Amino acid sequence: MRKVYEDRGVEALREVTFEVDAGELVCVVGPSGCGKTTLLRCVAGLLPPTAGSVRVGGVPVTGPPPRMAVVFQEYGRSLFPWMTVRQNVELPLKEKKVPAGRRNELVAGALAAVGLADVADAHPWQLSGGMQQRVAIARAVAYEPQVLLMDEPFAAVDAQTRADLEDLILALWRDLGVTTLFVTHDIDEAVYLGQRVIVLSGSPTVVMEDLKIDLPPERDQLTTRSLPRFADLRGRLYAQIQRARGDR
Amino acid sequence: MRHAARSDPANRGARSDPAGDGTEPGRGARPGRGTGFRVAYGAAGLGGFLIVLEAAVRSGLVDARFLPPASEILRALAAELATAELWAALAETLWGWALGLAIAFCAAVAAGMLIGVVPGLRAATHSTIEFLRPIPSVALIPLATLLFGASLGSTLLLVVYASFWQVLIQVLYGVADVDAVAHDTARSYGLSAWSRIRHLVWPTALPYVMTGLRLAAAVAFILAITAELVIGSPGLGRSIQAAQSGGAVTTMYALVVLAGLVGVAVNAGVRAVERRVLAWHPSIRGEAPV
Repeated sequence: MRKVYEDRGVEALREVTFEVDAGELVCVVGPSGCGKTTLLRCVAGLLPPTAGSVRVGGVPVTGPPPRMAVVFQEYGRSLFPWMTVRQNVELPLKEKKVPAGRRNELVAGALAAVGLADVADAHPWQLSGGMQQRVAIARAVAYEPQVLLMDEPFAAVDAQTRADLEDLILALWRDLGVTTLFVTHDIDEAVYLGQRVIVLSGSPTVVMEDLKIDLPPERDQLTTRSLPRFADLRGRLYAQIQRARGDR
Repeated sequence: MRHAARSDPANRGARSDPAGDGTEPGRGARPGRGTGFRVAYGAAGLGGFLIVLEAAVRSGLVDARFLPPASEILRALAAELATAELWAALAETLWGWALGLAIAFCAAVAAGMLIGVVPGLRAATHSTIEFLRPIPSVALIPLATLLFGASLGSTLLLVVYASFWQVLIQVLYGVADVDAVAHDTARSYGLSAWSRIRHLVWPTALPYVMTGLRLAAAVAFILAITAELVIGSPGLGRSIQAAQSGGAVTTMYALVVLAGLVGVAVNAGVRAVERRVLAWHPSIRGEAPV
């Protein structure tokens, strides 16, 4: 994927070029205001790039690609409050004309996978923040995407919930083998989740580093985070981000 | 009539008062603690008001020829309620009100959705709407008389014109209030234009639509009575006019009271509909039990 994007004279992304292999989980980190969300919106086909292109499976993205799901940071705005949890998860499937039987299966499966099978008939606003984000994740999972985009999905939940949700994402990614692009501002989270971490510079944005995370594939909040290698990688990324901020 | 921006990006709940008319949808009538007290206070206030009216007349403060005692007005109302003529007049009024409101509501929702959804149409129609909207419906009375005479048509013309704008403006605000993240979500999941209107734009606009309906219902009733009173279309308004010209002051007051009661009932009815339709909305659902 290669993309240059300029918006109203503001150069949000100067030259961001990277590839994500099928089935990979790649995290994107960068200092705040570096255009992470812009990048994600371009990849999602919600925003046309000014130059360059986004390709998914070799096909250029011109609008939202059919087998791509997005989980937004603002779960409270992304879920429809007039629909129940089940209806929220089901809506994209109805739109895809998935037959009713298969639809029910997918919805039930996705809700069970995120641990929300028992609140299917509640409305999103009756749930806690972490649970609401689980609903949004279930909606993405039920959609059976090839590519999953996540835009700082856990920025608005508390630390404990966040750790739980990180493990949920890892488990879902391992089970489904879905290609995942995970945008975050949290270096620890990026190292913990990613197979690779892409570091963006401050605006005008370029790729500063594409770092392979050579941690064991089985990850665990306690042991993985206390590995010396985790600290190494984390320290290296931290120094990069500091440099990125200093360059501005 | 601009609306408060929402504050917390992760919670769509913080929005208040889509009407901008100072009344929050559904508030005040929600059952819960203190309902009994509110009803008791309300009844006490009303009773006190009637006693003051009664006393003002009985004490000679006000001439009984112009304002009969409250007890006599209520007695006259009871007597009127026993006549078939009154019920026929009431039915005429309610029919004109309901039909006019329905026509205005459907037309305004259709027009508002169209204007709100088709790009450029809002800018193109804005000046026309802002010109037509402030024209008082009563200014159309001569036109109504010319076109329809003293008939249901006159009532409908005034009612439709007055309530159409109430609903249209709210629909326009509602359609413009679609959340950016919700819109991105709908697009990224491949929702078609029609699905977006049905599942996103319409529910977003619904709280505004209901406020518009509530305002329109009140205005429509006022205009229905006005048309009957001034033009002489059949209905409660004409009965009031007839009672006044016949010197039946007490009956006239009784009919005015009845019109007031109908107005209260109309408002309560629309609020009940609102509470049902918007059970998910922050103004109705109250604090989420998390």
